[in-house]
Amino acid sequence: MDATTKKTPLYDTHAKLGAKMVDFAGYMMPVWYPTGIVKEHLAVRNSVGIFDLTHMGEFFVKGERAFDFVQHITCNDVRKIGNGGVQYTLFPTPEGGVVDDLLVYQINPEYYMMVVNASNIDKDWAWVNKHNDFGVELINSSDRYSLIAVQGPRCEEVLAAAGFEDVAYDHPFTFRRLKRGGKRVYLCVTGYTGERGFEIIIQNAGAQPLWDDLMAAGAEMGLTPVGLGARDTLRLEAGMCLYGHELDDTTSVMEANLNWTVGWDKDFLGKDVLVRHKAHGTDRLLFGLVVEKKLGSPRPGARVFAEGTDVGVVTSGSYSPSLDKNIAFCYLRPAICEAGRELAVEVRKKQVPATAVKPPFVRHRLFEHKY
Amino acid sequence: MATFWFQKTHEYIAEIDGDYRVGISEFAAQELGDITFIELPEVGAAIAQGESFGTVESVKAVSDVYAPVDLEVTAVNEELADEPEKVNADPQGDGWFIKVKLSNPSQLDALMSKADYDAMNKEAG
Repeated sequence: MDATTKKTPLYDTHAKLGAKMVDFAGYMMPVWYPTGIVKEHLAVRNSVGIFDLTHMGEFFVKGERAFDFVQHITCNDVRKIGNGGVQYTLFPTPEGGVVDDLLVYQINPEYYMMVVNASNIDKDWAWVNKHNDFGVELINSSDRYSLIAVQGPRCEEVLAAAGFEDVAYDHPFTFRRLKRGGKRVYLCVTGYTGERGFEIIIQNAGAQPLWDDLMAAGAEMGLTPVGLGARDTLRLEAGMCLYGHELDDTTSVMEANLNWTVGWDKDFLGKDVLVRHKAHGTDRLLFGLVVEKKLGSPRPGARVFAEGTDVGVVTSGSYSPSLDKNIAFCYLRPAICEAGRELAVEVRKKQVPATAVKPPFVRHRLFEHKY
Repeated sequence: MATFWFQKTHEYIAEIDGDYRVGISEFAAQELGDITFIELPEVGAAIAQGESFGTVESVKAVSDVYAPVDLEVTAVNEELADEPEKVNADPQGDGWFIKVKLSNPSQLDALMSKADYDAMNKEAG
């Protein structure tokens, strides 16, 4: 562990649970517990899991022109969300890349929260400050807030049993501000798993009591601590991008098939390139592959072939516990992006058969009947 | 009664009633997490000490496994193809990878005893 590596308020809790801890983006984080990635993953799909995601960054934007600032620096249209709304969006660059993907929370048009990737906190902080031509106040609260997620079909039962009032998964991508034990809480109907779920952002001092309350309340529902390993397999199955894999300074929002996040009726930083990409297309598109279990998993950097021709590269790949097969995200030439097409992909230096699929690999279940 | 020898890269070789088996240690299985795929050599393959004889894939990682001594493969654990999780459950028992014939048994003397191996992991951890 590096001297500068940070511990979350729940570090000792993870240690007591026997978690394997790794340095992730400067934080010691649980990658899995003795339960193991596969069972942790399936707990979220079938019942409910709890995650410590305190490494995520929280910025606040305040001021008369906060709305204008957020409209300028993100590609999605903030007019769509309203007070108490959450929006998935990105910071595009004028060169056609992506600084980060993030969630924007509108408290009111003069007050926003942004939740950004841990690995990009410093870069994002520099970026928002560099582009603050709107006189807004920017506050980096990443070290003051913890994030605990409860994800899976039984999430509402766990929160209700832990004393949260009026918890219903009726309105995904909304949030409420409340106090718990005197601590500020953002109760967010959001997630990164494709399941019903909540993310609870809380001042650090409230993290341990909240975790303990949720664990006690969730025991009956089989609430399972889940590490970053299963978080990655869950988001991959759900077809959600991970910065540093599907997104980076060189990938465009359009290449990543995130055209649904672009507010074409507004101006924003980096719009010109995206308009060109929309009009003329791109040289590659994000798509999916499925590989039989016994052939092994394609890993990032593996090349993809169509009839012997190199047509793209894998960006994320893993065993999929839900499908019991291997799955991968890859950037492919647009002409190849056809579901059902038979391709080949490198697995441990050999080419193996792969089938092209359009992500998500596992259907989202946000609005299905409760458990 | 089984005798175990280990090497730094976490493979073991065990002698059980005159048979030699090679696999990965309990420590390694735990470190790798849920194992989803194992690639093993063919019976009859001759592998030199330090050479890779297969791959272990867990949800999050791919690792090569290396021959602790010069060996010839006499059997492979076919069950691992369908049940790779056996390696997590019992790495130094039912989760063995290959049975081998030793080409140069004196190489065992240079490997670590269980006590030395445990001490190495404790120090590193």
